[in-house]
Amino acid sequence: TDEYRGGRGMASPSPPAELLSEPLSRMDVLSEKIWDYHNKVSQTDEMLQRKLHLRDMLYTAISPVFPLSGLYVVGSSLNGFGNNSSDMDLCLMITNKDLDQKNDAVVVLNLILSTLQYEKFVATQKLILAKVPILRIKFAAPFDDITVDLNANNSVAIRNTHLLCYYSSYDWRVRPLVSVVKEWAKRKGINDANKSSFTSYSLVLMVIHYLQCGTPAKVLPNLQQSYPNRFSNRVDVRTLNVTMPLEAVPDDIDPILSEKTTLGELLIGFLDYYANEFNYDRDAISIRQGRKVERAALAARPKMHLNSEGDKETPPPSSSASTSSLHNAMGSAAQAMANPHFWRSQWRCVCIEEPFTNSNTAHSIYDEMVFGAIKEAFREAHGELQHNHDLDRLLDCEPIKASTTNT
Amino acid sequence: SETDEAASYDPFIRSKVEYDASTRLLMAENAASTRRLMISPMLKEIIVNPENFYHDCQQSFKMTENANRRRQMSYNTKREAYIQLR
Repeated sequence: TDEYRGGRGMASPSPPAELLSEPLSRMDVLSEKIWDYHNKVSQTDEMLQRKLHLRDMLYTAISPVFPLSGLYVVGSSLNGFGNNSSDMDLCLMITNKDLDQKNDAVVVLNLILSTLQYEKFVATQKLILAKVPILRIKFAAPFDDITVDLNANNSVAIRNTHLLCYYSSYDWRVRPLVSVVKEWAKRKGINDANKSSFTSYSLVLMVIHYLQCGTPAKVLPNLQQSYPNRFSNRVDVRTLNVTMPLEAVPDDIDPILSEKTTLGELLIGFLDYYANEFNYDRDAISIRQGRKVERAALAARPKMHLNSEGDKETPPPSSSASTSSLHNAMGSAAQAMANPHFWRSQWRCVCIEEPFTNSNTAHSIYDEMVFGAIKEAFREAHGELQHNHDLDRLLDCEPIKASTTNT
Repeated sequence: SETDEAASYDPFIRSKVEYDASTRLLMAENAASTRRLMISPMLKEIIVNPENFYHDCQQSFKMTENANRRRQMSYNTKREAYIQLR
């Protein structure tokens, strides 16, 4: 059962004697409730199958216009953190180079829009112009409950979907923990990038970070460090394959110690970590480095990766391994850094480094009032859950009061 | 349509229609002009000489099977942990 976990190559040292003599805690009520809740809301095989079928239908319609292209499922539908809500993000791959998102991507999506308008299974389409433009597609029955967001060649999404998929099944506690955290954040009104709070992606990275370095015993390793060949952004996205198990490599996780922390304790610990321990003013979250880093260091340097030896640069943001795009990325990063408005808006309040592009996934939290309310929500939730261990009461909560309109 | 749905599970069967390079370029030019955009030299190259980016590693039947295996695995590990903690 260990095949996706890897990292079990070395015999782990025996736990200290005092731990062995400790009475073993039983699986508590809170942990069981979290597990049950997760199983109730997580994406079913049937939903995944319908989504994939829809992807295949779209590909059949698109491929005459973009022959040999690839239509990749990205995001929560495939990264292991999906719930049964029915949004599917797709990425149409047509080149290994960075596709210009201002012009070329819009042309591509517009061409797809005009192609799909003749398909009977497509109900409505809307081209949404954003930094990464998307084509939002809704469907006729029996797929009328699924919404697709399609982007053109934004390949970083394929990379982080692949990485998160391995984190999600590295340890059985990761996914239930994320399910509950997402639901709590949603009910608390802090899982909505449009309202200047967290995206689901940011919440997942926060959980992974906590499991990497905030728990009594490490639960998750740093996969990008342990498997540089699997998770580097040099790897061609066409070869990323989640069905390939991770080979075992030595790491610093002691499974026996790690298993001692129950799922319920992990949830309480997560809330505690972001309520009381994490210093938002000083620290930034870096999954790629598997630790807290000083936010000043993250924000000040150009958007480039240095590997652990610090001698080689890994390729830039969105995908391409070509040297020409390396220079482009450095140019645009330097430009962005020279602009104080960019700096402030990108790295205010909460700093969560995207594991492949080094941008801040929590840049939508720029409002001090909302930020204050978010921190208060963590403190309150931690206080309550630690006291009564009651998942239902945690999820039965009122949305935070602060909103961008009253600041 | 029904027939398209059935065929879509086979990655090697595509729609009956396949446009040649010049038709594809013309279609792209039309799509661009409705938004007053241009076909860049790079996009033109992609349209005229497409490279293979087919989602070979993400074929639907493999993905469903994989999701199922990962779920099964987490059930098993949870059970083992439960036994261990008792």
